[in-house]
Amino acid sequence: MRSSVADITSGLAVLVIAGMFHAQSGDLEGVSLLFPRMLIIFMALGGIYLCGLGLLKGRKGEQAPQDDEPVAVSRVVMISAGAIAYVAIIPVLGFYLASALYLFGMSMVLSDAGGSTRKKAVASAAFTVVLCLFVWIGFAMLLGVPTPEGMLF
Amino acid sequence: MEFIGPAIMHLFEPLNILLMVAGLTGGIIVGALPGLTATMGVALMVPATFAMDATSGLIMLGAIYAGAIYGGSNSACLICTPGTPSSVATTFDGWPLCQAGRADIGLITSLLASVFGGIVGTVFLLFLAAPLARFALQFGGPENFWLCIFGLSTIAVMSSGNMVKGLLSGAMGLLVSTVGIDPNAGVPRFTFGYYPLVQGVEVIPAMIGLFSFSQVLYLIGSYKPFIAEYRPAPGAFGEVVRALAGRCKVNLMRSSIIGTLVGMLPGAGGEIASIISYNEAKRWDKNPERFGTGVIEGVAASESANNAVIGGSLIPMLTLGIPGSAVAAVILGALLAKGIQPGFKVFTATGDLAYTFIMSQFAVNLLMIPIGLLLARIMTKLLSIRLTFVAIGIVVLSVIGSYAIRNSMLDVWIVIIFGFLGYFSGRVGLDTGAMALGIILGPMIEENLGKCVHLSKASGGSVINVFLESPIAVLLIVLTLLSLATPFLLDWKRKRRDCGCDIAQPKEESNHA
Amino acid sequence: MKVRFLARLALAALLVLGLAVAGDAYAKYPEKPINMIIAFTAGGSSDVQARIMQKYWSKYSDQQWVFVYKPGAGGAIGFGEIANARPDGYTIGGINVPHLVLQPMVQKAMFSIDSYSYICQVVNDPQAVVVRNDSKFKSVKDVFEFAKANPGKLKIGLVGPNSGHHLMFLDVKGKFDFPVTEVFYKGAADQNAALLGGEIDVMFGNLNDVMRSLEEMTVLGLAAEKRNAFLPDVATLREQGFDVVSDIRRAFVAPKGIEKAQLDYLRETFKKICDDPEYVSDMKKAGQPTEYMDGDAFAAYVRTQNEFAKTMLQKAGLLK
Repeated sequence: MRSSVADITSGLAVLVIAGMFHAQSGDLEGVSLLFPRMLIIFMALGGIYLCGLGLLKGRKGEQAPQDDEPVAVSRVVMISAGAIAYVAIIPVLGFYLASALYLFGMSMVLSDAGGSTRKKAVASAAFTVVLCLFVWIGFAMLLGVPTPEGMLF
Repeated sequence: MEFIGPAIMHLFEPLNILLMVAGLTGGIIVGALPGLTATMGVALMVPATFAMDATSGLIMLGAIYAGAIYGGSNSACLICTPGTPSSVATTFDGWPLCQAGRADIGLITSLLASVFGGIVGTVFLLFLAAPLARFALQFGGPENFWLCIFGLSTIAVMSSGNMVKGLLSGAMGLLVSTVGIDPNAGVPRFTFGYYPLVQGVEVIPAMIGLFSFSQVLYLIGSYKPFIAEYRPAPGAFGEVVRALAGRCKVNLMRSSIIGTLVGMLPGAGGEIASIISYNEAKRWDKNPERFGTGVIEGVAASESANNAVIGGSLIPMLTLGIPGSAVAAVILGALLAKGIQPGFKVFTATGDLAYTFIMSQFAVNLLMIPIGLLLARIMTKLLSIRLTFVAIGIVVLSVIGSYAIRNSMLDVWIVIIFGFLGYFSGRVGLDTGAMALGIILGPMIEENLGKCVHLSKASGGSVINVFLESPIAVLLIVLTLLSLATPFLLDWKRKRRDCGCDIAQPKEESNHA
Repeated sequence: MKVRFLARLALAALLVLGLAVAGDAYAKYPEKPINMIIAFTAGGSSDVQARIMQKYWSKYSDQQWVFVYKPGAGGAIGFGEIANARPDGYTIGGINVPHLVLQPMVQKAMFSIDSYSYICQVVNDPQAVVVRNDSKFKSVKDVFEFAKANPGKLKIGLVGPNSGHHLMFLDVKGKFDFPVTEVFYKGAADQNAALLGGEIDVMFGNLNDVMRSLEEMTVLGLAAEKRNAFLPDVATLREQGFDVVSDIRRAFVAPKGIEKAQLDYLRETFKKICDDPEYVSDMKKAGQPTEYMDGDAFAAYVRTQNEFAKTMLQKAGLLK
C-alpha cells in the first residue's frame, strides 16, 4: 500500500488501541495508573502524528507506489476463518478431532497442487494422519503434555 | 581443581553419553518447533531425572537446555519464526538468507555461533563463577530498570528508518504487558471484564502469534508454492568457518560476553541478550545498513549471545541458588528435589557433581556440531514440502505449543489475536520485534521502577537520587543515551562515507519480514 | 461379507462396553490417574514438595498423579481451577495460606475459602527475620532499635504485596514502633538477591527460601510458635520479646462436593505419606519444613486466618 495510506492506517490503529485501554482505566489509581497512562498519552500523540503525516504525504501528490507482492486475499481469509473456527471448536470436540478436521479441511481448500479432487483428498488425509500421529507421539506420549479436552472427547 | 580429571572420566560413562546425545537431539527438536520452548522442554523432562542419580539428571537437563536454545534458530531461519523467544533476533538476518536460497549459510552460521557462545559461557562458569556471581548481585531495582530501558532504546537503532513507528510499536507492546495484575499494588488491571485475563498476556503465546501465526498468514497470502528456494552450494561450511574466524571474530567474542553477562542477571534472559548484541554488532559494523538483508554477522551475533546466556544463567544458580533464567530456575528445582544445596560449597562438597556438569556443557557444545548439522540437513527438507502444508501444520503446532505452557485456552486465543495483529503490523510498517520487546520488558520496567520509588523513601525522597547512587545505573543511563543517538550517528557515518555529497538522503522505510 | 464382519465388530464393541459398565460397579477409587493442579511454576517450592509426595503416593496407591501446572496471579489462577473443577475425586491440588485467604479479598478471585474440601496440611513454613552474614545487626532487638532511631532509613524486603510477608509486616507495624522503608519483590529469588546485593538491609523471608542461600545469610529470629528443627539455635520472635507468629502453610484440597468416601481415602493416604519416615527425611533434605494437620483442623485454621487477615487489611486501609 502507499506509504501515506500505511501511515494513516497505523496511526488510526494506534489511536484505537490507546483508546481501548483508556476506556478501561476507569477505576485505577495512583501507582497502578502511572505507567499505562504515560504509554496511552505517548501513543495518542504518536497516532495523531502518524495520521497527520499520512494526510500530508497524500496531499503532496503521488509517490511511487510501494513495490508490494500481490496478496492472495481469499486464501488469507480462508485460513484465518479456519483457524478461528478451529480454536473455537477445540473445547467442544477436543484437540485431536478438531485438529484432524482443521488439517483435512484446510488442505483440501487451500491445496494448490492442482489435480483431481480425489488426489487432493488422499494427500490431505495422509497429511492429516501424519501430523496428528506426530503430535500424539511427540507430545502426549514422549513429553506428557496434556492436550485440551473437549466436552465430547 | 582436582575434580576436573574425574569429572571428565565421568563423561565417558555410557549412560551419560547417551543422555547427552539424546538430550541434545530432543532439545534441538523441541527448540526448533515453534510453540515449544526451552523452558517447557526442560520442565517436562524433570520428572525423568528423579529416577536417575543427580549428576546424570543434571547432564541431561543441561544438554536439553543447550540444544533447545540452538534449535530455535532453525525455524527462525527457515520459516522466519523463532523456535524459542531467544531466537527473535536471528530472524532478522536468517530469514533473508533463506529467501535468497542460502539457508545453508544461515543454519551453519547459527550452529557454529551457538557452539562458540556456549563454550564462552561455560568458560566463564568454570573459572569466574564466584566473582561474577557477586557482581550479578549488584543489580537491583535501579540497575535492572536502566538495563531494560537500554534494551528498549535499541528499538531506536533497529528501526532507524522510521523511529516513530518503531517507538509506537514498542509502546504498544509495553501497554499490552500491563494487562493483568499490577506488580506494585497487586491490583488487577485492564482485564476488559474477562477474568482469565488477570493472568496477563504471557510473552510466549504473544510471540508465537506475532511471529509464527502472522508468518503463516503472510506465506499463505503470497503465491509462492514453496517457502523458499534452496540452492545449497558445496563448500558452504568452509565459507562460514572462514567468515566467522575472520571478519566476525570481534563480533562473536563481544556477543558471547554480552550473552554471559545478561544471562547472569536474574530476570534478564536470552531474548534480551540476543537483541542487545545484534544491535551492538550493527552499531559497530563498518556498513550497518547491510544488517537485515541477510548477513552472517547478524545471525552470528544473535546466536552466540543466546547460547552464552546458558553458562551465564548457571553461575548464580549454582553459587547462590538464584537462577539467572527461567530454565535455570527449573533446573534449580530439580537439584533441590534431589537434596543438593546450591551455594559456594557446591564446588567443594558436591564438587564431583558440579564439575561433571560443567564439563558436560563443554562436551555438549562440541557434540552439537555433528548432531546439529545432521538435524539441520533434515530440516532443510522442510523447504521442499509444499508451503500450504507447512503453514497449516504450523498453526496446529502453535495451538498445542501455546496450550502446553499453562494449559490455558486463553493462550491459544492470544496466539490468534496477536497473529492478526502481527500480520496487520507487517503491512502497515509497525515493528513486531519492537512489540515483542515491549511485552517482554514491560513488567520488569514497571516492577523495578516501583522498587526505585520505594527505595527513594530511604534516600531522601527523590527517585533521581536512587538512580545516581549506583555507578552501574549511571553507566547504563549513559549507554542508553548513546543508544538513542545512534540513528543519527549512523546517518552521519553513511553521509561521510558517500564522499560528502551535500544532498540530504531521503529517509527510507525499513520493514522487518 | 462386509456386513457380517461389521456385525461381528459391533457385537464385540457392545460386549466390551458392557464389561466396562459392569466393571464400573466394582471399581474402587481411584481407578484412573488423578490430576494434581499446581498453582505455581514447575521447579518452584510447591512443585518440588508435590513431587516428593508423589514418590510416596505411588507406594500406597496404584494410580499416578498427573501434574497440571496452572500458574499465574500469585497462585490465584490455579486455586480457581481447583475450586471450579468437577468434584469427582479425580482432580485435587495444592494451596497456600495466606494466599488463599488474601486473594479473594483483594483481587476479586474466582474462589473463596469455602470452595474446597480440605485434605490435610503438609508444610508449615515460618517467616524469619534475616540479614546478611556481615550485617551489623546481631539480634532482632538491634533491628527494631535501629529502625526507631533512624525512621525510614532501614530498608526491608518483602515478597508481595498482599502476601504472607506483607501480613506479617502489617502485624509488626501494628504492634510495635517500626518506621522502615518497605520494598516489594516478585518472588523469593529476587528477594534473596536483593538482600545479598545490599539493596535491602533486612528481610522477612520464608524458612524454605532462606535455606537455599543459608551460608550467606543469618537468621535472627523465627516467627513461629516454637523453634524449628532445621535451625535449632535460632530463637523464636516470642522468645525475644516480640509476639509475632506468621507463616505460610501448604495444604492439599479437593473441590467442594467431593464424595465423603473419596475424601476419606485421600485423607487416609496423605496421612500415611506424611507419617512415612523416608518422606520426612526427603523433605528435610529438600529444606521443606513439614508439619501435618488433618483436614478439619486445617479448615478451622483457614477460617481464623481469614478473620485475622481481614482485620489487618482493614486497619491498613488496603480493603476498599
